[in-house]
Amino acid sequence: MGSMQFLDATSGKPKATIRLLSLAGFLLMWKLASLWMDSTILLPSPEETFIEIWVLLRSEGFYLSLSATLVRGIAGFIISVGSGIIVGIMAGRSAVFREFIRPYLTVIQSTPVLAIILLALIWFPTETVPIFVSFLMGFPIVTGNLIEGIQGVDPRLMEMSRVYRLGKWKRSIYIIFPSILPYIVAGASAALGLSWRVVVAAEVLSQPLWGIGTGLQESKMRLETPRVFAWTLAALGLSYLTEAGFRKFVERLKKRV
Amino acid sequence: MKIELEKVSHAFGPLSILEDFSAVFPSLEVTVLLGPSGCGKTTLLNILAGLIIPRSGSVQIGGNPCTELKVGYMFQDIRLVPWLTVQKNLELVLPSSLPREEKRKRVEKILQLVELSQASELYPSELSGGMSRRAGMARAYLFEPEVYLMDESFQGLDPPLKFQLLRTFLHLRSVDPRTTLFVTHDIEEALLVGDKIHVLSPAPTRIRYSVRNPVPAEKRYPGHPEFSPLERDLFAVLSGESFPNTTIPVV
Repeated sequence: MGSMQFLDATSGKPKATIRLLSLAGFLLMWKLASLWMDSTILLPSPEETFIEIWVLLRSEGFYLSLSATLVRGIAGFIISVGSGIIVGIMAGRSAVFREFIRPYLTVIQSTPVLAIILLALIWFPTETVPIFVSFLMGFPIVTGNLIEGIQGVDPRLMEMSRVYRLGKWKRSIYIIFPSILPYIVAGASAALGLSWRVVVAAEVLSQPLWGIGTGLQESKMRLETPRVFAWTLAALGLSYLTEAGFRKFVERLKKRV
Repeated sequence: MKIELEKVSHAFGPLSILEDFSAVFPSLEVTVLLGPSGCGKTTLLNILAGLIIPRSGSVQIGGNPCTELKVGYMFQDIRLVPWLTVQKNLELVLPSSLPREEKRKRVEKILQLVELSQASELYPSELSGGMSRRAGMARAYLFEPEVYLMDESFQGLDPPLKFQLLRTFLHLRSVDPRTTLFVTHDIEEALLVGDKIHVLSPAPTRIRYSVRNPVPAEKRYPGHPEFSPLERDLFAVLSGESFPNTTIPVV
């Protein structure tokens, strides 16, 4: 019974313990695999990777790369969320515009990311490519969610707002916005997660002066696998921190709404 | 304000709900529309609330088109905004131009009248069925409409709670009498609140039978001796039997 309670627990200390155990298990598997492979080029050990992270943390270039990727990711994310909200609201309100925009969203979502990156490399300067790709990947997600959210606003509450003559402002602030907020959050969260993956991928191919992707590609060219792992962990850390920040922002926003 | 419907027709697809429906609902009285489910009672209220535009006919309240008038609608499903407290839900229907303190005072006053002061900071999901209905009633009254529309507002409640709410409604009415249209399929409820009762036929709706309540509002209570012949007659009309041989004057 005691062990069952432990397994069922999903909050507080038991939750943290489960996560720590999971991480320890992963590190153990990694260590065993690296011992078995016995080749730093193929699979460096966890400690070799952590030493490389330490070296990276002490270099100025790392912070420049991290900041450059962060700026690109955030820029692409903000543009995709901003435009996704505007287009989503328009499409949610107008069936004609919704049908008009649908093929574009489908085409963008179905096109392979690499094809978009390669085309963007032809069209845009190197520094802009990751931002453009991040925007293009996030935009259909946010727009799609917004359309769903607008269509999901409770028609009974809208009728109530008409009967009680709530003006456009009150209707938007007290009924529409709280109704679509979960859809905006879900779309933005998915776009943010995707943003780091596509920004780094675009940097790998476009090779801007600074960027995690540039660091990854250079390390790979020099067969410095521990450094490839270190850059990957840096990208993961960036993704984790920004998502945590985003969650905090959402919590504060929800409290205000 | 007197409500006048003249030759109003409406249909949902092939299903005709109203066909040349005409009626006059007198000013400051509670008119009950009593009828079976699906007979078009809610459609009538939605037309009066301006939520449905009838295919033909005219609807006037006090001589004006009904869309221009303030209607306090107590929906069957209440429709409180789930993420706002009772206080905020009620403040929502007050003019934005009112100072915050004034809004708070007005809400407090109406919540006292409906005996819901203790629930002002609760969310709709935290309210019981009776409390939700009180909040809905308070919202409709706070809006200060020219006409109240009440759609099966006390349906599904246990008899003591229903009676309590009906008393609250009658109390509010005595404080602030306004033209009210009260839709129900419950005969006892109709007799307790209605000054005038119209029995409606199944769709397409017609007024089958009209009767004025012989008992004044302040003297009504469940099981009032004057209700029993009326109750029998109304039941007979509702169940589709031949027109009852009644001593109650048909209006």
